[in-house]
Amino acid sequence: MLREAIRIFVVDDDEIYVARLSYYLSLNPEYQVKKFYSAKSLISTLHEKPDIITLDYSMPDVNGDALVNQIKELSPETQVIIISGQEDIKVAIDLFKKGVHDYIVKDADTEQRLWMAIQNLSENLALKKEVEDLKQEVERKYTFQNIIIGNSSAIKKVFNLMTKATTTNITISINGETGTGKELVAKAIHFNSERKKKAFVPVNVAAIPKDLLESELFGHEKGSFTGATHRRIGKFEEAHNGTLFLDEIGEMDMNLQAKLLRALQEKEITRIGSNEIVKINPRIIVATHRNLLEEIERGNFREDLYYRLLGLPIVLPPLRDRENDILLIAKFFIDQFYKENNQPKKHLSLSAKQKLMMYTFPGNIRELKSIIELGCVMAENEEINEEDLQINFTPIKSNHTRNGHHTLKEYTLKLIQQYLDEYDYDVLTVAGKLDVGKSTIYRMINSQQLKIAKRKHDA
Amino acid sequence: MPDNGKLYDTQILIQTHHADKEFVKYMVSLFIEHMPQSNTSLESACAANDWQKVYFFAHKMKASIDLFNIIQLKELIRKVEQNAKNSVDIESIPANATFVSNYIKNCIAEMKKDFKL
Repeated sequence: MLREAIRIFVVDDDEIYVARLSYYLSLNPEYQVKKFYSAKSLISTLHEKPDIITLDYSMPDVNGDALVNQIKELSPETQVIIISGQEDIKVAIDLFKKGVHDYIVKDADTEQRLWMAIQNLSENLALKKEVEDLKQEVERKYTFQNIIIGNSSAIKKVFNLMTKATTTNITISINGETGTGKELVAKAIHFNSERKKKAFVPVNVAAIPKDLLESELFGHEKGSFTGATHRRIGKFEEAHNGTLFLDEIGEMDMNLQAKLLRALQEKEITRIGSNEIVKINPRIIVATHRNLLEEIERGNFREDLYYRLLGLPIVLPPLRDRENDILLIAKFFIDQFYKENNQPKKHLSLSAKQKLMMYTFPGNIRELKSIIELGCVMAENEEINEEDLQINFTPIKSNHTRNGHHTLKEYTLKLIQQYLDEYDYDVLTVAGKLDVGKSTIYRMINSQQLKIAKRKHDA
Repeated sequence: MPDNGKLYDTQILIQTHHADKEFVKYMVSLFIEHMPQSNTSLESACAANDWQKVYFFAHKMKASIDLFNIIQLKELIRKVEQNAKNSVDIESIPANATFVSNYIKNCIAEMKKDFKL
């Protein structure tokens, strides 16, 4: 890939010096050099935002310090290299404090040192550009249309709320069944808001053991507890001026809920083992599959925290309520599958479409994706047919579930336990196999509905 | 004086800057065009006993003197520059400045001849 030219302004009132530096730098075809003989002409051209300025410190029409300040103010991204006839350490240090990149003395080696300095800078600039491009790519990836496919009335309401969410800093509470895309919606809000240049920090409350969650959120000082071998900043600090996404907030321990409430109200935290107060400014997005009002009634969730977090509620509709969106999303997954696997595209047959529309998708979009991908693999003809879509779940061992009378919840627990036993208690694998959220399984483990034995490969 | 008996030489330009003939000629023409003004400014500043300005002009002329390897003036221009900056041995400055100025005039004459400018 061709790199963009590095734009360099060479500034010196000595025309002979400008000519020699410009000529030398122009030997590199990647450098685009412009000459300036006065501070005034430089300032009037700074709107072009050059990448680098080589600046003679002793310009007759302005003080060198003042000129550096002006450059930094008008074009903060521009890197300045001072070329000075005097080796003055004090001046050099002051200039470095102002953000000057290098200070080169005019002597026989000036050109070589300038060449090296610019070469290093241009590598940094190329990396910076790459990071910017990647950031833009992420932003593009998280446009609403890329995140949410569909035009059902239910999803249009969500779009509308997401748009409102991007224009303010209000706390967002996302509610939806497992697999409805709560984290993706949170990301899309972040990457379309003014905070997009800062970090998006996701925390899955259900996936972190209770004892570690406080440290994870608020950070800790070295030696504050056994195992705290070094200072660590928490997710709140990491998300400063960005977005903190607390997924499965309904699973948070009551004691920690009180600390969370304080952090949100005071906009400050204290690391474990520290007395220092740290000011924080994250935008908060929370998500849960639970009905938090019911959890308040059961005494599992603080009412004051609920109202502090409610903010702008966004309810993600389950897939079964999204009308024709099922087929639009299915088509998206089909296209994606064949593109990723470099295979010619296939389409759903009419009967396959009808089969999808009849199904209730308890695992929502995550389940639809899984069904579609398997369907793409199984399809042998030009179309993906009804029989290619394996919607009916078949457990790997069928000897347990049909014995005796059980509730649906009991069946579910037995089935997940059976898979956990089978797959060495690897929650991620089991979640994938069963098309259920990993948070759901972690929750069941935390509430001791499921048993976790020591893993074989850890033994 | 460089080994070839000339008052100046262009080897630094050729070796350090990988300069071709055309660029060397261009740099010589810039020297011919701008140094007389620097000479005048230096001498006027001396006449006015304005040592700050003497320092400034000597400082500026130093880079071109180095570039064209005018050996006779390399130390002298630095002496003028530093004496003027620190107000030391002020009495020597005007005579040294005049020497610099005259030597540069001779260089320019030689350059004009060498490069048919």
